[in-house]
Amino acid sequence: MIAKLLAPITSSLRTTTFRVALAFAGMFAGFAVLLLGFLYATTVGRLGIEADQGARRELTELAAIWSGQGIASLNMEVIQRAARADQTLYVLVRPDGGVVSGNIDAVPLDLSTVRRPDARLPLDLQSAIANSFSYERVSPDNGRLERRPARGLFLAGPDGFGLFVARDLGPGVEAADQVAQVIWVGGAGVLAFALIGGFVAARQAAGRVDELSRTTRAVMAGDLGRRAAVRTVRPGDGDEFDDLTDDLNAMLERIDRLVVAARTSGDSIAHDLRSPLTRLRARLETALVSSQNDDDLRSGVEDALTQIDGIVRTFNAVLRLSRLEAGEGGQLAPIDASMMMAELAEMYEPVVEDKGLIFKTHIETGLNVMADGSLLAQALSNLLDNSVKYTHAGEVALGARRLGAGEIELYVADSGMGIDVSQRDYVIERFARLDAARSLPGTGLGLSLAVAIAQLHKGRFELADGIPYDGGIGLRASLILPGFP
Amino acid sequence: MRVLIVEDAGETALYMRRALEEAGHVVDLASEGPTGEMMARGGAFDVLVFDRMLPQKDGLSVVSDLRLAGITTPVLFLSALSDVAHRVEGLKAGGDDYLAKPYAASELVARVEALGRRYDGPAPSTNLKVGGLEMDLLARVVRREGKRIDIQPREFRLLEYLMRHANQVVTRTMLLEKVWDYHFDPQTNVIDVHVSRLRSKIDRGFETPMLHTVRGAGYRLEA
Repeated sequence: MIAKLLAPITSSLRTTTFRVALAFAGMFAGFAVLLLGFLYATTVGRLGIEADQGARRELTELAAIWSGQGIASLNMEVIQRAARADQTLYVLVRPDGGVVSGNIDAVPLDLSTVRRPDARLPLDLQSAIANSFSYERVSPDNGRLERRPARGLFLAGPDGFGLFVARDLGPGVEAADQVAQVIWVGGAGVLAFALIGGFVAARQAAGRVDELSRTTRAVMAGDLGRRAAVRTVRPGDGDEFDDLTDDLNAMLERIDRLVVAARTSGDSIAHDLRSPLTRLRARLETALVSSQNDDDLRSGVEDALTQIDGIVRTFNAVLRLSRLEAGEGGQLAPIDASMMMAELAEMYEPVVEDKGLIFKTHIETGLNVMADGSLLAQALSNLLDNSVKYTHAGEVALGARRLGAGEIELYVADSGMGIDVSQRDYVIERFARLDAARSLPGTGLGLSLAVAIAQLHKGRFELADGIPYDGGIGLRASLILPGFP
Repeated sequence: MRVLIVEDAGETALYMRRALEEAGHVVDLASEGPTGEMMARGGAFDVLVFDRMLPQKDGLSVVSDLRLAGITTPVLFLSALSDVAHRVEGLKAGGDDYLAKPYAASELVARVEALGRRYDGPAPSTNLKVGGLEMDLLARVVRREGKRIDIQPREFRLLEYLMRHANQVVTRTMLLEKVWDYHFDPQTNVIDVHVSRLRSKIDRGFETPMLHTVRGAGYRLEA
């Protein structure tokens, strides 16, 4: 339960964003502590040196009194100075360690370890022992007890007495302490801020990544239509996650198309080959069972062969269409569309004329497109086949012209029965056969192939009214392709 | 003509052999890439027929190795892969023609004969002659029994191809591929229309027709 509630948090903590934020915060805090620590150390060090010098000055003066006027005068002097003292601490101790006079109640040193100098020698300032310590005092500001750092020197005399003089490090210490506080508070603040900021950023990143992984998991589970939500509307505005999302979605789109293409081609093959195979089987069976003589049998087999050729043709067309729709195939190269159209015209002219139709060409010269010439010729050949098949009087025209915006239209127009506007979307579907066309041979894939070929060339396929003739609207089928200068 | 067929599907191979033998050719069979390669290197064949997909060593590799070894015998590839890209692969590997499965026996025979013919003629000449039909390739003039025949450029190429393969069956697909360079299958009878136009030019007014339709297969130009 708790683990579940914590899951989004722990997952955020695991993210790279969070780790990077944390690393930066750590580095920053570490650097700040180092810098300020160095500042603190030098400040305190400086104060310590000054305190040392002050203490040594005092000790030198007092030592002069001690050696010149004796211990009693020293005691008087210590009492006087201790009373006046603000930053200086004094303690005069007896040989047994008891305090004689001074303004603190003990020497902050283990006196038993201090070596007593030879009684015959004079006072030796060089033998003074330095130390750092802290002591408690009543604050002059607020009357509270406070602990303060100080630096001291202890001088043991030949008479057994000992003198300890120390200097408070002074008001600088407060400043340094404040600096130290700033270091800790600031460092902690920076860390906390980085943690929160990093966490928030990581939450956000984790959320976006979660969206992506949710999408991929859904797709893996079979929901191929699923897409990751895109945060920004305008392309190019987004961050790297948006780019990634876009790429992922594009990839899914392509996979989806491939899968759909594979599935529909499988379905289509099954659907479209089943009926001709049934017919083929029936034909062969009839030939086998009911043939009266060899001629019957022979004509049955010949029919069957023709049907098989038709099946193979459909099969090839379906395969080609699937590959085209999956974006496969097609070597685009600059080609002269005018020349290609002229060759097609030359090929189809006798066919059109043999059917008693007029063949016209309206081919502008010098039209270049980036295309797979073979595929383009195939698309137009399909359109020409259709026009020849479905036009019974009038004319068929093959044309190529420049449109605005650098587009090039390659078209086949005829004066046939035409296709009603309401059915133009339907006829480009796979295996679509209009009622009027059912009796004529055909795969029902010609226009689908033309559409797929147009799309492969980043162009489009359009159907419009053709050449009006004898009450018919005719049909104009166009491949509109981006021109190539 | 001696033909080597390298095809791993036994029944198909036998069917191909029968078709070619009925057309009067001598056929050897191999069913694996390396065996086929060995036989092609050793024997004096006029045409090699290779399936693209063969056990142990595929047809493309065998043929490119044969070409590297300096063996120039014409090769016909057979393949279930029918795309233009596959065809180009086959031709690049050193194949001379490419036939997609399934195919009619007549198509196979016609293509094998076309390939065999291509290599036994003498040095290219500027004149073709089939019976009373003469073609001057430089002046682009066609005469039959001395009478000049007016002919369109594409008809000229069509006739040239037919003349180069005179007395052989030439299929519609072959004409589409070799004369028009189209590798797809028009639904209409485009080729028939062109051939019949050509026929009306070269046969009309003469006693014996030269250009014959071979039912279920294609056409044949006869002397």
